[in-house]
Amino acid sequence: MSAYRLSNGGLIDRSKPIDFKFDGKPLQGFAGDTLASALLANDKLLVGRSFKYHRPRGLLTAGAAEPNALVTLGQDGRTETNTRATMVELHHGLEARSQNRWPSLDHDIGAINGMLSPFLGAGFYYKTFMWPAAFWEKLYEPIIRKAAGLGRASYVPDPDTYEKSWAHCDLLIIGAGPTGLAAALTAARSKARVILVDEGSMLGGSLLCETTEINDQPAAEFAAQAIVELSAAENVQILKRTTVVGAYDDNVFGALERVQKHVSVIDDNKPVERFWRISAKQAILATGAEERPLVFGGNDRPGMMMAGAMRTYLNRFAVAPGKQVAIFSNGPSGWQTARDLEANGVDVVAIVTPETASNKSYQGKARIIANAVIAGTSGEKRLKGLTIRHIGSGSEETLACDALGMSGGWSPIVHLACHRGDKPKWSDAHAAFLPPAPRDGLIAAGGAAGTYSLAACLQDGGTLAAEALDNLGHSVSRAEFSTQQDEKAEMPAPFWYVKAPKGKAFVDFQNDVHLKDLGLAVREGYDHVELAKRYTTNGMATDQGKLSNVNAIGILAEATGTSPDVVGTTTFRPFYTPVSFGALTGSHIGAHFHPTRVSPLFKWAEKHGARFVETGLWHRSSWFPKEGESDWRESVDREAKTVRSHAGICDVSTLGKIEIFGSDAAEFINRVYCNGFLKLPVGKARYGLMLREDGFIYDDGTTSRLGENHFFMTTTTAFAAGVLTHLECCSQVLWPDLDVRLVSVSDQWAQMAIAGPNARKILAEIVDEDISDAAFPFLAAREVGLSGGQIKGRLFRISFSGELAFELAVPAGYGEAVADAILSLGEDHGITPYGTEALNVLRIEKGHVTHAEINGTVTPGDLGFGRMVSAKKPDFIGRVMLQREGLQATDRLRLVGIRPLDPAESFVSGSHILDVDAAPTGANDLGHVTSSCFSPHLGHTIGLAMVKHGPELIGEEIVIWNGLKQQSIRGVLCEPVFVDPKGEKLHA
Amino acid sequence: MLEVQLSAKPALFGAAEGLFGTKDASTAGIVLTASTQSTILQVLSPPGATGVAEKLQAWVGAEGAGLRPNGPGNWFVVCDAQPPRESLEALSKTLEGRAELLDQSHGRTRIKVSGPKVTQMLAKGTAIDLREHQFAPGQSAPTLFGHISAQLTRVSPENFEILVLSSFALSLWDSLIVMGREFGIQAHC
Repeated sequence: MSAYRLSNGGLIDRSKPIDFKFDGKPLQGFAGDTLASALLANDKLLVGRSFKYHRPRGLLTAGAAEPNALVTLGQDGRTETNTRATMVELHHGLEARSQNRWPSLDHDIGAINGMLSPFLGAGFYYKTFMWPAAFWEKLYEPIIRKAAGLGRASYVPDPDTYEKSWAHCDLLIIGAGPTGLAAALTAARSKARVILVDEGSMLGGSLLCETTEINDQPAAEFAAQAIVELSAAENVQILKRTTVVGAYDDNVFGALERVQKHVSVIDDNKPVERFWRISAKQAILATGAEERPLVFGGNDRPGMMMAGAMRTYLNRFAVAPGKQVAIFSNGPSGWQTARDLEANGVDVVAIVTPETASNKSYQGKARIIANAVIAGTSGEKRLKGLTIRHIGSGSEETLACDALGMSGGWSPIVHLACHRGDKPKWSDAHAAFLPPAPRDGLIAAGGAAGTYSLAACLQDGGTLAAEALDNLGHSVSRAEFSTQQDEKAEMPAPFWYVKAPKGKAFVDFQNDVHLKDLGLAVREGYDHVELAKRYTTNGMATDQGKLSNVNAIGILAEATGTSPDVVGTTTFRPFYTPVSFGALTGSHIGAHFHPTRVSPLFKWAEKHGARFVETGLWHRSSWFPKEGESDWRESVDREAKTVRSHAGICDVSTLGKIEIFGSDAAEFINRVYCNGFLKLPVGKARYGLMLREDGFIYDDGTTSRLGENHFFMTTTTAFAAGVLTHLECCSQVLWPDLDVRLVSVSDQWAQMAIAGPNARKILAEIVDEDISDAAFPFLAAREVGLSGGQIKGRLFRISFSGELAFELAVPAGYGEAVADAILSLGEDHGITPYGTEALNVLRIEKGHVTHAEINGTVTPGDLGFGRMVSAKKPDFIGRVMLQREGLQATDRLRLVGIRPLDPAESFVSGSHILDVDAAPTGANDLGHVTSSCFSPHLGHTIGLAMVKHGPELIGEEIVIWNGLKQQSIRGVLCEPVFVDPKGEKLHA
Repeated sequence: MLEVQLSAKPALFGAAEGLFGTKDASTAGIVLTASTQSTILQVLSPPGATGVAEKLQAWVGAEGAGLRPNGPGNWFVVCDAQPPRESLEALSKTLEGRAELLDQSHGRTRIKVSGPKVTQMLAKGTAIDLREHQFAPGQSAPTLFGHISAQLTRVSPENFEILVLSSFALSLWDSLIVMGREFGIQAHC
């Protein structure tokens, strides 16, 4: 036994015991404990195994930087690996498991790696597992991955919910330690909106862990009272259990709130984590400073921790770290720890310091060994003793102890100030990297700016908050505080490492990088700080070098004979601490992964048994199986045949619809299409081909003139938003002088195609006006009344199927009623609902193109539309570039029809076209099939293809090659119109 | 010609209704209401047209309707019910030569969101700063709710209105319920 719970003191509630388990063993802690403090109180010094050498490890810190105590929490879908025990609030039923050990934490076979360690230095894998190359993926990598690890994720879906939220404030204060609280208390006096964020469950930061006093109150009591005051202030929002993880442009900060990570029973109505995006006009970085470990032989044994962490366990959690505690400190922190330990009756056996003089203010009983270092340590799963080396004489002595508090000075936590690319600056006076200059209203204060005394931090927080508010036009006076006389916080020169250590001297605990690894990196030429990081893995993994980076920089500086200033830091990137994928995804999972667009005819189609296909965000009805039909093809064949023989109705509401107004609307449309629109008569529709500036086709559709200065354009479903954006750009940027107004009405209209020889008869029953061929000829487009003027709709005589066809648009809410009425009126005329599959069959049979053909690489000429391109118009988008030689070349891929030579054979889209005698390779490719289907009218497969010299080869026999399946069949190139080539049905 | 009675169904027909996250309507922090009988008109005026906003303001004032600026020369006019024909004709006449008037009653769906927790809930969707002095009653702006584009208006301190493309209405409705569950939400459409 060494660590134990003190009988009184601390901020825990001894009246509320909490049962939890670690590696299956039942243990007890108290409300207010973290998992780490509860483990330590139970004398569980061994909490994890290291990544590479599987060395026994204990708690090193009491906070966010913890590299050793990584545990797995929860079961199944709630499994959470690599959780820092120092950040987990103890709660009933908590079950934690250690990681990277087998069969158990105490007896870990992987520890054999420690014996092999002379061979496992930095770069070992790269040098050793070079050959045979095939072994890397099959043998070496799996073995290495098995041997090293950071817990195993679960494959079971996470049952909990996550969400994101925005917040806006005038002043964001990051961190609620002494600096942050002083800033918040000052800001609370103003009318400005303030958000105070802290990652802890209790606000107060270091005040909760220290024995000092503010305003004649113990620090923790002062913090508690400050929180009461701030909570009552209407202008202050407090976000606890929230870590600001990233700083972005325009002073937007990302923050992760752990909403329900500390509770035993999850409330389904709330997220477990919430990701905040906080937009702040000014921000104060009051993130404090991280204590630096010392690099000496055997500096990783369970029982050793940071001197500041030791004070946290002692003062906040009432846990003594051992019975015979030693201190190794460069700077004042260790001395303070010794004082606090002795005040709690813990025996401090020695204070070892490389400094030449004792700390003057220390009056305790411990033996002071100045001008000395710790060269090595002993003990396996817990620390047993130290080897102390006197710097002057080089003589060594051993000392028994069961715990060690170490301090190598402080590193300001500057990460958030560096996320936008600014670099911190080394300061010899502070023996630390200080934050870069303030940027966009983000300024570091207190410990984060290298200010270490309590009085100075309180003053700094208040002053900077008052200044920030002043910048925003809110004048307040700074909140003032009285403190005890601070120990003069002068930092000694940094002490980077103990020379000639006995055993491994770890620099990066999480990645098992030790002093020799960095030396090797320098010797092998990887002395640049970024290269040394990659070569040794120092500063990688989940803690991202919070404890190790600055020491590594100091060591590199000494090894290369430069200074930390010259070596510089690696790049700071979000996130400061790990963020779950759940929080980043928010609520966008499952059915909410992306929004679903619902056609106004969706419910109508569903009612009639449609099967749906996802088309972008839409679910389009793809076919309507009838009873007895077992195969989709059976339904599609029937639908296509019924349309050609009787009539069909199909939902085409998803097409983009754009209303265009203005006295220059005709001129505008004339410029965006390559064919002429200026003289389109009112009441008529026309097919239009829209080119991009580079001369290739962008989109197609029909545009109708509903009035002299009023047009209605349809686009393809896929390009609806893109075309509107394109038109807005043309109107606002290219031709702002044209009087044109555009608006999307895609959602205002339910649109249905009614096609087939009986289409007119059926529609005549519901349309009030005369729609005979004479009154309503091909391409007529007009407003009509329906069912005795009950509603107004728009009727267009256009056809994608090649049949006598109309498209009827009605206000969306009436879509279902009108479609049902048409189905019912058409019953005697043999009408059927049909879906996009039959629509596709019908259009391929007619040789009509879609985006299967218009794929961004085709010109009007390629599709046989060359004559549509106006030669008279002075200009239109794409005109100039379309004249390029390559776009006019005669050997371009051009549209042609294709069919199998033997009607019993079939082919698929994407197949390639080869000469009959050519070998089946890409080099002999003549083109490819763009669309294909079984034609129920012809009784065999048909297709459209883009083929070199295609139209000139009509009648030629070719090979249709499916390279994926290595199948070839004989085919014949033909005209792309397979049904009614003269268009007689269309004009019926 | 057969007698066919045509009736309209709103985009939110059959959407989820009831209490979510609470069993007691009196504790619901959010009330979600689909305004299915609304008339929604879009007004488009060319650059340089004068007096359009004033004329619209006068009309909505007289009709008890709402005006939602959507962009330069672009407004939505929203009415809880169908305004009288004469009144619409008068509006049309007033705007003649100045602006186009377009019916979007079916193209947009109007959702009212209210309650003491409304700004907290809406902050889960929109990046707009909803503090009252930043986004005061009467203010309106196009924004994104997650992946869905919508027009958000503050009607009064705790009453907001969302205008969304009707094809997205059901998706947005479901998302709003998810966002509101934490506060207890009552949804009716």
